[in-house]
This record gives sequence, structure tokens and C-alpha cells, in this order.
Amino acid sequence: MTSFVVKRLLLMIPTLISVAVLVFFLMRIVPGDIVALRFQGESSFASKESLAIERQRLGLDQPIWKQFLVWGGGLLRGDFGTSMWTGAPITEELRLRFALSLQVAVMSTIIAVLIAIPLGVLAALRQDTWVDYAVRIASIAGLATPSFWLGILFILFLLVVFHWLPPMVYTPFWVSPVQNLAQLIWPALAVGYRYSAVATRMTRSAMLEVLREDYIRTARAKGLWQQLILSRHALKNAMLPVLTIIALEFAFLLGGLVVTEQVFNLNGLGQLFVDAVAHRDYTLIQALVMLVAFVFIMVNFFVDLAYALIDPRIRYR
Amino acid sequence: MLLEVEHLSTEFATRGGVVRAVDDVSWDVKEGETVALVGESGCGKSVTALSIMRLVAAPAGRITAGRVLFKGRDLLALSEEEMRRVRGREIAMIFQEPMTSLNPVLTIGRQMTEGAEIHLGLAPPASRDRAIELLAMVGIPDPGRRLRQYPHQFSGGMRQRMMIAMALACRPALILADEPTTALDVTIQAQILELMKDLSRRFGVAMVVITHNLGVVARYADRVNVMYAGKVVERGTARKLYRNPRHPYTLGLLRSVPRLDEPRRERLAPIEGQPPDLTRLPAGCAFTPRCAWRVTRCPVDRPALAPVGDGEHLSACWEAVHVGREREAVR
Repeated sequence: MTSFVVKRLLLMIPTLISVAVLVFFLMRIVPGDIVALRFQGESSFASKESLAIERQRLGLDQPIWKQFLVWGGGLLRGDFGTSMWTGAPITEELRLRFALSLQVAVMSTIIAVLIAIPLGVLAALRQDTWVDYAVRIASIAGLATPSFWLGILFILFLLVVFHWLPPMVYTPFWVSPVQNLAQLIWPALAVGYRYSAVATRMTRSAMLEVLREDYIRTARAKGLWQQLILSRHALKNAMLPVLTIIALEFAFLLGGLVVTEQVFNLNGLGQLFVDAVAHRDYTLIQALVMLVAFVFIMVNFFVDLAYALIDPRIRYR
Repeated sequence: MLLEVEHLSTEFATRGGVVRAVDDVSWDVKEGETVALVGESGCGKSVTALSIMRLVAAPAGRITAGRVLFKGRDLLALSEEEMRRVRGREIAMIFQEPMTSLNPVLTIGRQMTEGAEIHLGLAPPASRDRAIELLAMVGIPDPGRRLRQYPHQFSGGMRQRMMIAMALACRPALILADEPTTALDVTIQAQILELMKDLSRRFGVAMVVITHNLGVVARYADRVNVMYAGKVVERGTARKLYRNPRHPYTLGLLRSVPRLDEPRRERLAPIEGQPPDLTRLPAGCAFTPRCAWRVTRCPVDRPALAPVGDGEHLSACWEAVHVGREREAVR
């Protein structure tokens, strides 16, 4: 097991290097660099010379491999550099936004799991009854509802019924948990509901499959309580596919909540991503992609570990 | 009588129609006795066992008629909770596939101890000691260490031993063993059967062995019920049935098995034809199309199980008195 962990951790290095190479060179293939975008607007009179000077200032006049080495060297020191667009240090910028996005992602995941697993199990147990259909309708509705729209409904509802608006300014959790949760619970609910839909369907089908297994019949033949059969014998086996879905979705939530962030006035990673791409802010895009890639890789790593913990047949070498 | 199955019928709703897997079947088990249910795949022997345990998969499967008297109590009339207390505690079951019948993500210990913890209220250390004792009894070396392992770390034979130990955990009065050796190597099969016979004697547990293997029957069963198309077609002591089968199907089964105690015949005689489609059984005897002894009334008139010779030997065949080894030549 230890050797598996070490091996997997070491394997992350080539993966991250590949991501770094890909994002670095792909961004530079995209037409229109940051200098052109900034100085050659509709009514721009910027001369070729001033563009060259700006490129020189940003280091874009250097050969591309040299740029890559400079950036890569910074990465190794944990330094993402400064934003080409704003000039602000990226690490600083990312820290707050990452904390916020991470919190929303974690809260959404918790909400999704709390919805999905009980409902999925219930639907499986009451297969083809009204309970199953109700759960199905709820989850299909969840899939069909964009979470930003649900978020808008939440805000309207709170405003109309309670004459109250969630705080629109971010307060870190450690400063005021109440204030923080009062703001973030709404996007987390909106996202979590949507996110629970897939997980509910997955839980239901995994559970149905497991309940048909011979070992469930063995457990029943032993005279165990239904509840014990479910919690001890069925759920653990059914959780493997559900875990994968939840983990992948979690990683997506970190950078993928562009519109929902706007609805709730959150300065998360999603909006930053869009802006960075729009501005061809190379350094910022690279930093964001590296961050999200890292989270993805870590999440996958933990899923693999969890698999091994849940299913003893899986032993990694 | 320990167990009396009376007029039991179990049906399955399938796409092709209603299948009567068990059709008005009656048989019984005495205390400490080993009774065999014999027949080919799909004859209803496993469904009979599952019906006794009331584990027929709902909603497709349904027990439609009959009584299952266990120590005088009708199991079919019990509430689900009362039935739960019978399962594992008074009637235990051993399944065919020791690979899929054990939970892959729980330790052997967990799966062995939970029955005793629930039914006998044993504390975990006590049920653990008991599990160790049982594993040792079924011949698994180093049981203390084995308890911490998972099913995939056991061989097929060991898994089946463990299933037997698990079935014994609450000292039940009856064990239903559904094809307990089918998935195992021939050498292991014999070991497992010896073990089961030995343990059933030692604890005075009655056993119902479900099998298609007549060799098993001859050696280990006191009495035999031969099933065909959901019905018992012949019943008797193992000795009688083996020496003097009185139903063409039983005879066919016996002749399709190689024997070491008789001169070698040139070739085995398989039973010709296919088992009948259970959704549309004929009005008469279901074995008619495959039967060499059939007479004109067979396809239309179903024979009941009736005594042949002494009262303990029964056969459901119009020609029961003629069926026998001596007629082989005629055929």
C-alpha cells in the first residue's frame, strides 16, 4: 500500500509537467496575444514600437522555450508570477478565490451527498413505486435546472417572502462563520441540488444491482435485519461507482461555476478563468489550469485510495 | 417431523407467462435426517428451498399455496419479523456459489459473527471465539488469522467450508444446502460432503441437500425426493431408489451417471430431449415426451405419487410397476 501511494505521488510529477507544457504552448497558439488585445482596440493608435516595448516588458519577445523555462522555474519555487493584465501577484489573487471556490465546492458536495445517497437508496428499495418516480422526477428536474437560475429563484424567494437578501460581500469563514454561511449556503444549495441528480441516479442503479447479488440473499438467509443488510452489506458495495461520480463532479465545481458565481456575486475561480482567457492573460491562465489540474489529480488519487479501502480485492501494486 | 412441506406451490411471473416452478409439492424431514432433493436444472429444487426460507425474489416470485410446517409452526403464516428470527437461527442455508454468496467487502469474521450476535445476543468477543471454534471444526487452519481475511483470499473449498461453519453458527435444527458442492473440484466435493455428513451427525442437525448429483445422494442421503418439472415424481430411501428406481426419470438419471461398482457399459445413456417449458405444461405427466415407458393415458392423465412395493417408496408413474432395470433390454 505504501509503495502504491509513493508511486502514485511520483506519477503526479510527469502528469503535472505535461499539463504545464500543454497549457503553456496551447495558449500561445491561440491568435491574438495579450499586448495586441490591450493596445489594438477599435480606435487604437498604438505604434508597432510601443507594442514591442510592451512585449519586451512582459518577456514575450524572448524565445518561447526560454519563456517556458522562466515560468517553469517560478512554478518550482511555488511562484506563479504576476498577472500580465493587472500586474498583481497571482498567488495572492488565487488564494482568496481558491478558498471561496473550495468552500462552495465542499459545501455543494456535502449537500449533494446528503440528498443523493438516501434518495437513491430509497428509490432502489421502492423500485417502480410512486417513491421511485418522485425521486426520478426530482433528479431529472435537477439535471434540467441550471443552478444559476435556481440561485436567482432562491434570491427572489428570500427577498419576496422574508424581505432578506443574503450578504453580497464575502466574509471568510474564520472571521464570521454565520455571515459566511449565510452567503454561501445558497449557491451551495443551488449547485448541490443539481449535482445530486446524477449521484442519485447512480446510487439508485448501483443499489439495485447490489441488491440482486447472491451475498445479499445470504445475508437475508442469516436472518439479519433489513436495515443492517442495507447499511452493512449493500451500501458499501454500491458506493464505489457513486464515489467516482461525486469526486469528478467535485473537481469540476472548483473552476466551473462561472454564472452561479456571478449571480451570488462571488469572486471565485470561475469568473477569473473566463476573464483570464478573454484577456489572454497567459500567466494567470497557466496558474489557474495548473491549480485545477492539481486538484483533479489529487481527487483522483484519493478516489483510488478510497477504492482500495472500501474494496479489499483492490490492492494496488 | 421436523419439517413438513405440504402442497407447496411457487410461481414466477415471467415475460413468457407464469412459471409454476414448484407445483403442489409435499415432502418432509425428520429430526437429524438427511433428505435429498434431486433433479436437473430448473426442476424447482432450489426454489423449493428458497420458498421454505421465504426468500423467493419478490415481486416476480410468489408462493401461491401450501404450508411449510417447521416444528409444527407454519412458516408461511409467520410475520416477516418472526420469519427473520427463524432464518439463520433455526433453519440455515448454504448456497451453491461460495464465490458470489459471500460479501466481497466484509471480512470472514464479520460475516461469520453477525448471525450469532443478532440471534443469540452474543457479545463480539464471544461470537468471535465461536467463529474461531467453528472454522477450526470445518478444518480451516489458523482460524484466528483467517477471520481477518476477505473471501477472495480463500480458495473455493475453503469458502464453502466457511459457509458451512457460518450455517452452524447458531446451532440450527435444519440446514438447507443448495448444490453445496457444484462449484467445487471433484476431490474437494467429497471432502465437503464428508464434512457436512460428519457435522450433521455430531450436532444432530437435519439436512436437506439439493443436488443433481446422484452420487451425492447415494452416499449421504437417508431419503430422496426426485423432482421433475416442479413436482416430486419419486420418493424413497436412498438405498431403494438407487437399487430399484420406479420412475422412468429416476432411472434415466441413474443411467446417465458412470458407475464404478458395475461392469463398464459401452456408453452412458443420456435422457433424450429437453426439460419441458414450464409455462405450458401438458395436462398429463410432464415427462411423457422423453419417456420410453409412456402409454396412451400419459399425455392426458397425470399420475399421482402412489406407493410402489412398501409404503415408503412412492412413484408418480402409471407404469411404476414395470419400470426397472430388468426392462432395459426391452427398450
